[in-house]
Amino acid sequence: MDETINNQSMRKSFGKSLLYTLPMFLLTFVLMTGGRPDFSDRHGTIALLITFLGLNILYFLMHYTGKTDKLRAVLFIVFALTLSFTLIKNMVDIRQTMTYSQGDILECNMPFCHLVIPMLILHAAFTQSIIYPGSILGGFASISAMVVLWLGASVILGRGFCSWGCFYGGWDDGFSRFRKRPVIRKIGDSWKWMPFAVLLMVALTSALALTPTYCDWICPFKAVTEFEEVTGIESAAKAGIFISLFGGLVVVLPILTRKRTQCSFLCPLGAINTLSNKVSPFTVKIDRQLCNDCLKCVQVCPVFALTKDDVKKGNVSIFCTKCGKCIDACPKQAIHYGIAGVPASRMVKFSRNIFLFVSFLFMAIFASGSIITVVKSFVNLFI
Amino acid sequence: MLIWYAISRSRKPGCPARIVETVNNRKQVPVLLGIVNSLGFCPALLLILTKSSAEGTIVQSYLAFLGFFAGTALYFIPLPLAGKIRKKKVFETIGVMATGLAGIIFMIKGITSLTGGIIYG
Repeated sequence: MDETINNQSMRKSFGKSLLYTLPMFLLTFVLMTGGRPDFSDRHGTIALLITFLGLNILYFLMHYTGKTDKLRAVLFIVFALTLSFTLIKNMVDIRQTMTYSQGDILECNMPFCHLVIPMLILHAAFTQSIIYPGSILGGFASISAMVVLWLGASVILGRGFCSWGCFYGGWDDGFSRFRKRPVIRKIGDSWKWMPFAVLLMVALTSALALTPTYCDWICPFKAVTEFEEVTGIESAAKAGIFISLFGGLVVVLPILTRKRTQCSFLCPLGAINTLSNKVSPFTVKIDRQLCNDCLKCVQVCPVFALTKDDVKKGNVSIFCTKCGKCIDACPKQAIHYGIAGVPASRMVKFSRNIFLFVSFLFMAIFASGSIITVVKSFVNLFI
Repeated sequence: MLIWYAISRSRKPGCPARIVETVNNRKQVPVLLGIVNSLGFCPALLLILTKSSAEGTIVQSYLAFLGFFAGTALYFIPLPLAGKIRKKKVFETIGVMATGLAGIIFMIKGITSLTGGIIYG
Protein backbone atom coordinates (compact mmCIF):
# COMPACT_ATOMS: atom_id res chain seq x y z
CA MET A 1 0.00 0.00 0.00
CA ASP A 2 2.82 2.36 0.88
CA GLU A 3 4.29 3.21 -2.48
CA THR A 4 6.16 5.99 -4.18
CA ILE A 5 5.09 7.24 -7.58
CA ASN A 6 7.80 7.44 -10.19
CA ASN A 7 6.20 9.16 -13.12
CA GLN A 8 3.88 6.21 -13.48
CA SER A 9 0.42 6.29 -14.99
CA MET A 10 -2.77 5.62 -13.06
CA ARG A 11 -3.94 3.23 -15.81
CA LYS A 12 -4.91 -0.30 -14.92
CA SER A 13 -5.24 -3.44 -16.98
CA PHE A 14 -8.70 -4.50 -18.28
CA GLY A 15 -9.06 -7.31 -15.73
CA LYS A 16 -7.85 -5.21 -12.81
CA SER A 17 -10.21 -2.38 -13.77
CA LEU A 18 -13.10 -4.86 -13.87
CA LEU A 19 -12.13 -6.11 -10.43
CA TYR A 20 -12.07 -2.56 -9.07
CA THR A 21 -15.48 -1.89 -10.63
CA LEU A 22 -17.10 -4.95 -9.05
CA PRO A 23 -17.83 -3.38 -5.60
CA MET A 24 -19.32 -0.32 -7.34
CA PHE A 25 -21.35 -2.64 -9.57
CA LEU A 26 -22.87 -4.43 -6.58
CA LEU A 27 -23.40 -1.36 -4.42
CA THR A 28 -25.02 0.76 -7.13
CA PHE A 29 -27.33 -2.15 -7.98
CA VAL A 30 -28.41 -2.57 -4.35
CA LEU A 31 -28.82 1.16 -3.73
CA MET A 32 -30.56 1.91 -7.05
CA THR A 33 -33.07 -0.88 -6.58
CA GLY A 34 -33.47 -0.25 -2.86
CA GLY A 35 -32.36 -3.82 -2.22
CA ARG A 36 -35.66 -5.14 -3.64
CA PRO A 37 -35.38 -5.33 -7.43
CA ASP A 38 -38.78 -5.05 -9.08
CA PHE A 39 -38.81 -5.66 -12.83
CA SER A 40 -42.58 -5.58 -13.32
CA ASP A 41 -42.49 -2.18 -15.05
CA ARG A 42 -40.80 -2.90 -18.42
CA HIS A 43 -39.91 0.72 -19.28
CA GLY A 44 -38.74 1.38 -15.76
CA THR A 45 -36.50 -1.69 -15.90
CA ILE A 46 -34.96 -0.60 -19.22
CA ALA A 47 -34.28 2.90 -17.80
CA LEU A 48 -32.77 1.41 -14.64
CA LEU A 49 -30.49 -0.91 -16.62
CA ILE A 50 -29.31 1.83 -19.00
CA THR A 51 -28.50 4.14 -16.06
CA PHE A 52 -26.89 1.36 -14.06
CA LEU A 53 -24.67 0.25 -16.93
CA GLY A 54 -23.81 3.82 -17.93
CA LEU A 55 -22.66 4.68 -14.42
CA ASN A 56 -20.55 1.56 -14.05
CA ILE A 57 -18.96 1.96 -17.48
CA LEU A 58 -17.86 5.46 -16.48
CA TYR A 59 -16.37 4.16 -13.25
CA PHE A 60 -14.66 1.32 -15.06
CA LEU A 61 -13.15 3.79 -17.54
CA MET A 62 -11.80 5.92 -14.70
CA HIS A 63 -9.70 2.95 -13.63
CA TYR A 64 -8.92 1.67 -17.11
CA THR A 65 -7.80 5.00 -18.59
CA GLY A 66 -6.37 6.47 -15.39
CA LYS A 67 -8.21 9.72 -16.15
CA THR A 68 -10.73 11.33 -13.85
CA ASP A 69 -11.99 14.76 -14.87
CA LYS A 70 -13.56 14.18 -18.28
CA LEU A 71 -15.38 11.04 -17.16
CA ARG A 72 -16.53 12.73 -13.94
CA ALA A 73 -17.74 15.71 -16.00
CA VAL A 74 -19.91 13.46 -18.17
CA LEU A 75 -21.91 12.26 -15.16
CA PHE A 76 -21.77 15.67 -13.46
CA ILE A 77 -23.25 17.46 -16.48
CA VAL A 78 -25.84 14.73 -17.11
CA PHE A 79 -26.77 15.00 -13.41
CA ALA A 80 -27.32 18.77 -13.67
CA LEU A 81 -29.37 18.50 -16.85
CA THR A 82 -31.52 15.59 -15.73
CA LEU A 83 -32.16 17.05 -12.30
CA SER A 84 -33.36 20.33 -13.79
CA PHE A 85 -35.56 18.38 -16.20
CA THR A 86 -36.99 16.24 -13.39
CA LEU A 87 -37.59 19.22 -11.12
CA ILE A 88 -39.29 21.27 -13.84
CA LYS A 89 -41.38 18.23 -14.84
CA ASN A 90 -42.39 17.76 -11.22
CA MET A 91 -43.32 21.42 -10.85
CA VAL A 92 -45.33 21.37 -14.05
CA ASP A 93 -47.10 18.16 -12.98
CA ILE A 94 -48.03 19.65 -9.60
CA ARG A 95 -48.56 23.34 -10.45
CA GLN A 96 -48.89 23.30 -14.26
CA THR A 97 -46.19 26.00 -14.37
CA MET A 98 -42.51 26.61 -13.59
CA THR A 99 -43.42 29.56 -11.40
CA TYR A 100 -44.44 29.53 -7.78
CA SER A 101 -46.97 31.82 -6.16
CA GLN A 102 -47.31 33.37 -2.70
CA GLY A 103 -49.83 30.57 -2.02
CA ASP A 104 -47.13 27.93 -2.56
CA ILE A 105 -44.88 29.78 -0.11
CA LEU A 106 -47.63 30.00 2.52
CA GLU A 107 -48.41 26.29 2.13
CA CYS A 108 -44.69 25.41 2.44
CA ASN A 109 -44.66 23.68 -0.95
CA MET A 110 -41.18 24.82 -2.00
CA PRO A 111 -38.65 22.09 -2.81
CA PHE A 112 -35.44 22.59 -0.85
CA CYS A 113 -31.95 22.78 -2.34
CA HIS A 114 -28.59 22.78 -0.60
CA LEU A 115 -27.81 26.39 -1.59
CA VAL A 116 -30.30 27.56 1.07
CA ILE A 117 -28.33 25.98 3.92
CA PRO A 118 -26.06 29.03 4.66
CA MET A 119 -29.16 31.14 5.25
CA LEU A 120 -30.66 28.71 7.76
CA ILE A 121 -27.68 28.38 10.09
CA LEU A 122 -27.97 31.62 12.13
CA HIS A 123 -31.69 31.33 12.61
CA ALA A 124 -31.65 27.63 13.38
CA ALA A 125 -28.87 28.18 15.95
CA PHE A 126 -30.56 31.03 17.81
CA THR A 127 -34.27 30.34 17.46
CA GLN A 128 -34.44 26.62 16.57
CA SER A 129 -36.63 27.54 13.60
CA ILE A 130 -36.20 27.13 9.85
CA ILE A 131 -36.78 30.18 7.67
CA TYR A 132 -37.68 28.27 4.51
CA PRO A 133 -41.18 27.53 3.22
CA GLY A 134 -40.51 23.85 2.56
CA SER A 135 -41.26 20.50 4.13
CA ILE A 136 -38.90 19.44 6.92
CA LEU A 137 -39.37 15.69 6.60
CA GLY A 138 -41.71 14.65 3.82
CA GLY A 139 -42.44 15.52 0.21
CA PHE A 140 -40.20 16.14 -2.77
CA ALA A 141 -36.71 17.39 -1.76
CA SER A 142 -37.28 17.80 1.99
CA ILE A 143 -35.08 20.05 4.13
CA SER A 144 -33.81 17.32 6.48
CA ALA A 145 -32.84 14.95 3.64
CA MET A 146 -30.86 17.63 1.81
CA VAL A 147 -29.11 18.91 4.94
CA VAL A 148 -28.07 15.40 6.00
CA LEU A 149 -26.84 14.56 2.47
CA TRP A 150 -24.87 17.79 2.17
CA LEU A 151 -23.41 17.54 5.67
CA GLY A 152 -22.26 13.95 5.18
CA ALA A 153 -20.79 14.63 1.77
CA SER A 154 -19.07 17.83 2.86
CA VAL A 155 -17.40 16.26 5.87
CA ILE A 156 -16.10 13.39 3.74
CA LEU A 157 -15.38 15.10 0.42
CA GLY A 158 -14.78 18.68 1.61
CA ARG A 159 -15.23 21.06 -1.30
CA GLY A 160 -15.21 17.95 -3.43
CA PHE A 161 -18.98 18.23 -2.96
CA CYS A 162 -18.90 21.07 -5.52
CA SER A 163 -17.52 18.74 -8.22
CA TRP A 164 -19.03 15.42 -7.18
CA GLY A 165 -22.34 16.20 -5.49
CA CYS A 166 -23.76 19.58 -6.43
CA PHE A 167 -26.55 19.26 -8.97
CA TYR A 168 -26.01 22.81 -10.22
CA GLY A 169 -22.25 22.69 -10.71
CA GLY A 170 -22.64 20.70 -13.92
CA TRP A 171 -24.15 23.72 -15.65
CA ASP A 172 -21.13 26.02 -15.50
CA ASP A 173 -18.76 23.05 -15.63
CA GLY A 174 -20.43 22.12 -18.93
CA PHE A 175 -20.32 25.62 -20.39
CA SER A 176 -16.69 26.05 -19.32
CA ARG A 177 -15.79 23.21 -21.69
CA PHE A 178 -17.34 24.77 -24.79
CA ARG A 179 -14.19 26.48 -26.09
CA LYS A 180 -10.75 24.95 -26.41
CA ARG A 181 -9.01 28.17 -25.34
CA PRO A 182 -10.17 30.96 -23.04
CA VAL A 183 -10.89 34.43 -24.42
CA ILE A 184 -10.49 36.12 -21.05
CA ARG A 185 -7.29 35.00 -19.38
CA LYS A 186 -6.58 37.51 -16.65
CA ILE A 187 -8.95 37.56 -13.70
CA GLY A 188 -8.00 39.22 -10.41
CA ASP A 189 -7.09 36.74 -7.70
CA SER A 190 -9.15 38.55 -5.07
CA TRP A 191 -12.42 37.73 -6.87
CA LYS A 192 -12.25 34.18 -5.53
CA TRP A 193 -13.11 35.60 -2.08
CA MET A 194 -16.43 36.91 -3.41
CA PRO A 195 -18.45 33.81 -2.28
CA PHE A 196 -17.42 34.63 1.31
CA ALA A 197 -18.77 38.16 0.88
CA VAL A 198 -22.00 36.73 -0.58
CA LEU A 199 -22.17 34.25 2.32
CA LEU A 200 -21.67 37.01 4.90
CA MET A 201 -24.28 39.19 3.27
CA VAL A 202 -26.96 36.54 2.74
CA ALA A 203 -26.49 35.00 6.19
CA LEU A 204 -26.98 38.38 7.89
CA THR A 205 -29.74 39.69 5.63
CA SER A 206 -31.64 36.37 5.89
CA ALA A 207 -31.44 36.48 9.68
CA LEU A 208 -32.75 40.05 9.63
CA ALA A 209 -35.42 39.65 6.96
CA LEU A 210 -36.49 36.12 8.05
CA THR A 211 -36.46 35.02 4.40
CA PRO A 212 -33.75 33.23 2.42
CA THR A 213 -32.53 36.34 0.58
CA TYR A 214 -30.23 34.42 -1.75
CA CYS A 215 -33.14 32.35 -3.12
CA ASP A 216 -35.35 35.39 -3.14
CA TRP A 217 -33.04 37.78 -4.97
CA ILE A 218 -29.85 36.26 -6.30
CA CYS A 219 -29.87 32.52 -7.13
CA PRO A 220 -29.15 32.18 -10.88
CA PHE A 221 -30.40 28.58 -10.97
CA LYS A 222 -34.00 29.71 -10.73
CA ALA A 223 -33.65 29.87 -14.50
CA VAL A 224 -33.45 26.06 -14.62
CA THR A 225 -35.65 25.11 -11.68
CA GLU A 226 -38.53 27.35 -10.54
CA PHE A 227 -39.03 31.07 -10.02
CA GLU A 228 -41.43 33.56 -8.52
CA GLU A 229 -44.48 34.45 -10.57
CA VAL A 230 -44.00 37.92 -12.07
CA THR A 231 -46.83 39.96 -10.62
CA GLY A 232 -45.25 43.36 -10.04
CA ILE A 233 -42.14 45.52 -10.18
CA GLU A 234 -40.29 43.64 -7.44
CA SER A 235 -40.86 40.16 -8.89
CA ALA A 236 -39.90 41.53 -12.35
CA ALA A 237 -36.66 42.91 -10.87
CA LYS A 238 -35.96 39.54 -9.27
CA ALA A 239 -36.53 37.79 -12.60
CA GLY A 240 -34.18 40.26 -14.30
CA ILE A 241 -31.48 39.58 -11.70
CA PHE A 242 -31.59 35.78 -11.88
CA ILE A 243 -31.74 35.71 -15.67
CA SER A 244 -28.78 38.12 -15.90
CA LEU A 245 -26.77 36.14 -13.36
CA PHE A 246 -27.53 32.84 -15.08
CA GLY A 247 -26.62 34.25 -18.47
CA GLY A 248 -23.50 35.98 -17.18
CA LEU A 249 -22.03 33.65 -14.58
CA VAL A 250 -23.31 30.25 -15.72
CA VAL A 251 -23.23 30.60 -19.52
CA VAL A 252 -21.19 33.49 -20.94
CA LEU A 253 -18.29 33.85 -18.50
CA PRO A 254 -17.59 30.09 -18.23
CA ILE A 255 -17.43 29.95 -22.05
CA LEU A 256 -15.10 32.96 -22.22
CA THR A 257 -12.84 32.03 -19.32
CA ARG A 258 -13.02 28.21 -19.27
CA LYS A 259 -13.61 28.58 -15.50
CA ARG A 260 -16.59 27.72 -13.32
CA THR A 261 -17.38 31.35 -12.62
CA GLN A 262 -20.67 30.88 -10.75
CA CYS A 263 -19.03 28.41 -8.36
CA SER A 264 -15.94 30.59 -8.01
CA PHE A 265 -17.48 34.05 -7.66
CA LEU A 266 -21.01 33.70 -6.32
CA CYS A 267 -22.04 30.47 -4.60
CA PRO A 268 -22.30 31.01 -0.81
CA LEU A 269 -22.41 27.28 -0.15
CA GLY A 270 -19.13 26.98 -2.03
CA ALA A 271 -17.63 29.28 0.61
CA ILE A 272 -18.75 26.95 3.42
CA ASN A 273 -17.56 23.92 1.46
CA THR A 274 -14.18 25.63 1.07
CA LEU A 275 -13.89 25.61 4.87
CA SER A 276 -15.01 21.97 4.98
CA ASN A 277 -11.89 21.13 2.96
CA LYS A 278 -10.08 21.60 6.28
CA VAL A 279 -11.84 18.59 7.83
CA SER A 280 -12.05 16.32 4.80
CA PRO A 281 -9.69 13.32 4.87
CA PHE A 282 -9.14 13.63 1.10
CA THR A 283 -6.83 16.20 -0.47
CA VAL A 284 -4.96 16.87 -3.69
CA LYS A 285 -1.20 16.87 -3.32
CA ILE A 286 1.72 18.15 -5.37
CA ASP A 287 4.98 16.24 -5.41
CA ARG A 288 7.66 18.93 -5.69
CA GLN A 289 10.28 16.36 -6.69
CA LEU A 290 8.38 15.52 -9.87
CA CYS A 291 6.98 18.99 -10.63
CA ASN A 292 8.74 20.88 -13.42
CA ASP A 293 6.86 24.17 -12.80
CA CYS A 294 5.15 24.13 -16.19
CA LEU A 295 2.07 25.62 -14.43
CA LYS A 296 -0.35 23.77 -16.66
CA CYS A 297 -2.33 22.94 -13.51
CA VAL A 298 -2.76 26.65 -12.71
CA GLN A 299 -3.98 27.24 -16.24
CA VAL A 300 -6.57 24.44 -16.24
CA CYS A 301 -7.91 24.73 -12.67
CA PRO A 302 -11.56 25.76 -13.11
CA VAL A 303 -12.00 27.27 -9.63
CA PHE A 304 -8.79 29.33 -9.12
CA ALA A 305 -7.55 26.87 -6.50
CA LEU A 306 -3.97 26.93 -7.76
CA THR A 307 -1.59 29.85 -8.10
CA LYS A 308 2.06 29.98 -9.09
CA ASP A 309 3.00 30.38 -5.40
CA ASP A 310 0.88 27.37 -4.41
CA VAL A 311 2.70 25.20 -6.94
CA LYS A 312 6.09 26.48 -5.79
CA LYS A 313 5.19 25.64 -2.19
CA GLY A 314 3.68 22.29 -3.20
CA ASN A 315 0.29 23.20 -1.72
CA VAL A 316 -3.18 23.09 -3.19
CA SER A 317 -5.37 25.82 -1.71
CA ILE A 318 -8.60 25.27 0.23
CA PHE A 319 -10.59 26.29 -2.86
CA CYS A 320 -9.87 22.92 -4.51
CA THR A 321 -12.99 20.98 -5.60
CA LYS A 322 -11.04 17.75 -6.29
CA CYS A 323 -12.36 17.59 -9.84
CA GLY A 324 -9.14 15.97 -11.05
CA LYS A 325 -8.52 18.37 -13.94
CA CYS A 326 -5.03 19.36 -12.75
CA ILE A 327 -4.19 15.72 -12.05
CA ASP A 328 -5.10 14.71 -15.61
CA ALA A 329 -3.32 17.72 -17.13
CA CYS A 330 -0.01 17.30 -15.29
CA PRO A 331 2.58 15.96 -17.79
CA LYS A 332 4.79 14.65 -14.97
CA GLN A 333 2.04 13.06 -12.85
CA ALA A 334 3.25 15.25 -10.01
CA ILE A 335 -0.29 15.96 -8.77
CA HIS A 336 -2.40 13.23 -7.25
CA TYR A 337 -5.26 12.55 -4.85
CA GLY A 338 -3.98 12.12 -1.33
CA ILE A 339 -5.05 11.50 2.22
CA ALA A 340 -4.66 14.19 4.87
CA GLY A 341 -1.56 13.66 6.96
CA VAL A 342 0.11 11.38 4.43
CA PRO A 343 3.04 13.06 2.63
CA ALA A 344 2.88 13.72 -1.13
CA SER A 345 3.99 10.79 -3.32
CA ARG A 346 2.94 8.25 -0.65
CA MET A 347 -0.02 5.86 -1.09
CA VAL A 348 -0.86 7.48 -4.43
CA LYS A 349 -2.85 4.66 -6.03
CA PHE A 350 -4.54 3.71 -2.77
CA SER A 351 -5.66 7.32 -2.18
CA ARG A 352 -7.06 7.63 -5.70
CA ASN A 353 -8.90 4.31 -5.48
CA ILE A 354 -10.49 5.19 -2.14
CA PHE A 355 -11.38 8.76 -3.15
CA LEU A 356 -12.86 7.69 -6.48
CA PHE A 357 -14.90 4.95 -4.85
CA VAL A 358 -16.41 7.24 -2.20
CA SER A 359 -17.00 10.29 -4.41
CA PHE A 360 -18.27 8.39 -7.45
CA LEU A 361 -20.61 6.25 -5.34
CA PHE A 362 -22.07 9.41 -3.80
CA MET A 363 -22.60 11.09 -7.17
CA ALA A 364 -23.95 7.91 -8.77
CA ILE A 365 -26.56 7.33 -6.08
CA PHE A 366 -27.47 11.02 -5.84
CA ALA A 367 -27.79 11.33 -9.62
CA SER A 368 -29.36 8.00 -10.50
CA GLY A 369 -32.93 8.94 -9.52
CA SER A 370 -33.18 11.90 -11.90
CA ILE A 371 -31.27 10.10 -14.67
CA ILE A 372 -33.65 7.11 -14.50
CA THR A 373 -36.65 9.48 -14.68
CA VAL A 374 -35.29 11.17 -17.81
CA VAL A 375 -34.23 7.91 -19.48
CA LYS A 376 -37.67 6.46 -18.72
CA SER A 377 -39.29 9.48 -20.38
CA PHE A 378 -37.22 8.81 -23.51
CA VAL A 379 -38.00 5.09 -23.39
CA ASN A 380 -41.71 5.94 -23.14
CA LEU A 381 -41.32 8.19 -26.19
CA PHE A 382 -39.61 5.63 -28.39
CA ILE A 383 -41.01 2.27 -27.28
CA MET B 1 -22.66 55.13 0.06
CA LEU B 2 -22.07 51.40 0.59
CA ILE B 3 -21.40 50.88 -3.12
CA TRP B 4 -19.16 53.94 -3.23
CA TYR B 5 -17.19 52.62 -0.24
CA ALA B 6 -16.75 49.25 -2.00
CA ILE B 7 -15.53 50.64 -5.31
CA SER B 8 -13.63 53.67 -4.03
CA ARG B 9 -9.92 53.56 -4.70
CA SER B 10 -9.12 56.30 -2.16
CA ARG B 11 -10.34 54.30 0.80
CA LYS B 12 -7.97 55.14 3.65
CA PRO B 13 -7.23 52.85 6.53
CA GLY B 14 -8.06 54.09 10.00
CA CYS B 15 -10.95 54.88 12.29
CA PRO B 16 -13.91 56.75 10.73
CA ALA B 17 -14.06 58.83 13.94
CA ARG B 18 -11.19 60.92 12.52
CA ILE B 19 -13.78 62.90 10.58
CA VAL B 20 -14.90 64.33 13.91
CA GLU B 21 -11.30 65.03 14.89
CA THR B 22 -11.10 68.17 12.74
CA VAL B 23 -13.74 69.97 14.79
CA ASN B 24 -13.20 68.41 18.18
CA ASN B 25 -10.34 67.43 20.40
CA ARG B 26 -9.27 63.92 19.37
CA LYS B 27 -9.35 62.53 22.91
CA GLN B 28 -13.00 63.47 23.27
CA VAL B 29 -14.22 61.78 20.12
CA PRO B 30 -15.29 58.43 21.59
CA VAL B 31 -17.19 60.28 24.31
CA LEU B 32 -18.85 62.48 21.70
CA LEU B 33 -19.81 59.50 19.60
CA GLY B 34 -21.22 57.82 22.70
CA ILE B 35 -23.37 60.89 23.44
CA VAL B 36 -24.51 61.09 19.82
CA ASN B 37 -25.30 57.38 19.89
CA SER B 38 -27.39 57.71 23.06
CA LEU B 39 -29.55 60.36 21.39
CA GLY B 40 -31.29 57.61 19.45
CA PHE B 41 -33.41 56.04 22.16
CA CYS B 42 -33.19 52.33 21.73
CA PRO B 43 -35.75 50.14 23.55
CA ALA B 44 -33.11 48.80 25.92
CA LEU B 45 -32.02 52.31 26.91
CA LEU B 46 -35.63 53.35 27.44
CA LEU B 47 -36.17 50.33 29.66
CA ILE B 48 -33.16 51.11 31.84
CA LEU B 49 -34.16 54.78 32.06
CA THR B 50 -37.61 53.77 33.29
CA LYS B 51 -36.14 51.21 35.65
CA SER B 52 -33.53 53.56 37.17
CA SER B 53 -36.01 56.41 37.61
CA ALA B 54 -38.35 54.05 39.43
CA GLU B 55 -35.62 52.98 41.90
CA GLY B 56 -35.97 54.05 45.55
CA THR B 57 -32.60 55.77 46.03
CA ILE B 58 -30.02 57.55 43.82
CA VAL B 59 -27.46 54.86 44.63
CA GLN B 60 -29.82 52.16 43.35
CA SER B 61 -30.44 54.20 40.17
CA TYR B 62 -26.70 54.58 39.62
CA LEU B 63 -26.17 50.88 40.23
CA ALA B 64 -28.87 50.01 37.69
CA PHE B 65 -27.17 52.25 35.10
CA LEU B 66 -23.76 50.85 35.99
CA GLY B 67 -25.05 47.33 35.38
CA PHE B 68 -26.51 48.41 32.06
CA PHE B 69 -23.22 49.99 30.91
CA ALA B 70 -21.22 46.97 32.05
CA GLY B 71 -23.59 44.75 30.06
CA THR B 72 -23.39 46.83 26.88
CA ALA B 73 -19.60 47.15 27.18
CA LEU B 74 -19.35 43.36 26.75
CA TYR B 75 -19.91 43.88 23.03
CA PHE B 76 -16.72 45.93 22.82
CA ILE B 77 -14.48 43.25 24.28
CA PRO B 78 -13.88 41.48 20.92
CA LEU B 79 -13.11 44.78 19.17
CA PRO B 80 -9.34 44.81 19.92
CA LEU B 81 -9.22 41.41 18.17
CA ALA B 82 -10.61 43.02 15.03
CA GLY B 83 -7.29 44.85 14.72
CA LYS B 84 -5.57 41.47 14.57
CA ILE B 85 -7.95 40.29 11.83
CA ARG B 86 -7.36 43.49 9.84
CA LYS B 87 -3.76 42.49 9.31
CA LYS B 88 -5.03 39.73 7.04
CA LYS B 89 -5.82 41.45 3.77
CA VAL B 90 -8.36 38.80 2.83
CA PHE B 91 -10.78 39.81 5.61
CA GLU B 92 -10.73 43.38 4.39
CA THR B 93 -11.38 42.18 0.82
CA ILE B 94 -14.37 40.07 1.94
CA GLY B 95 -15.74 42.93 4.06
CA VAL B 96 -15.47 45.44 1.21
CA MET B 97 -17.12 43.02 -1.24
CA ALA B 98 -19.96 42.29 1.20
CA THR B 99 -20.45 46.04 1.69
CA GLY B 100 -20.78 46.54 -2.06
CA LEU B 101 -23.20 43.63 -2.43
CA ALA B 102 -25.36 44.87 0.45
CA GLY B 103 -25.40 48.30 -1.20
CA ILE B 104 -26.53 46.83 -4.51
CA ILE B 105 -29.31 44.80 -2.86
CA PHE B 106 -30.52 47.80 -0.83
CA MET B 107 -30.43 49.98 -3.93
CA ILE B 108 -32.45 47.48 -6.01
CA LYS B 109 -34.95 46.99 -3.17
CA GLY B 110 -35.26 50.76 -2.79
CA ILE B 111 -35.71 51.41 -6.51
CA THR B 112 -38.29 48.61 -6.93
CA SER B 113 -40.25 49.77 -3.86
CA LEU B 114 -40.21 53.39 -5.09
CA THR B 115 -41.15 52.44 -8.66
CA GLY B 116 -43.87 50.10 -7.40
CA GLY B 117 -45.18 52.87 -5.15
CA ILE B 118 -45.23 55.39 -8.01
CA ILE B 119 -46.92 53.01 -10.46
CA TYR B 120 -49.41 51.33 -8.15
CA GLY B 121 -49.84 54.23 -5.72
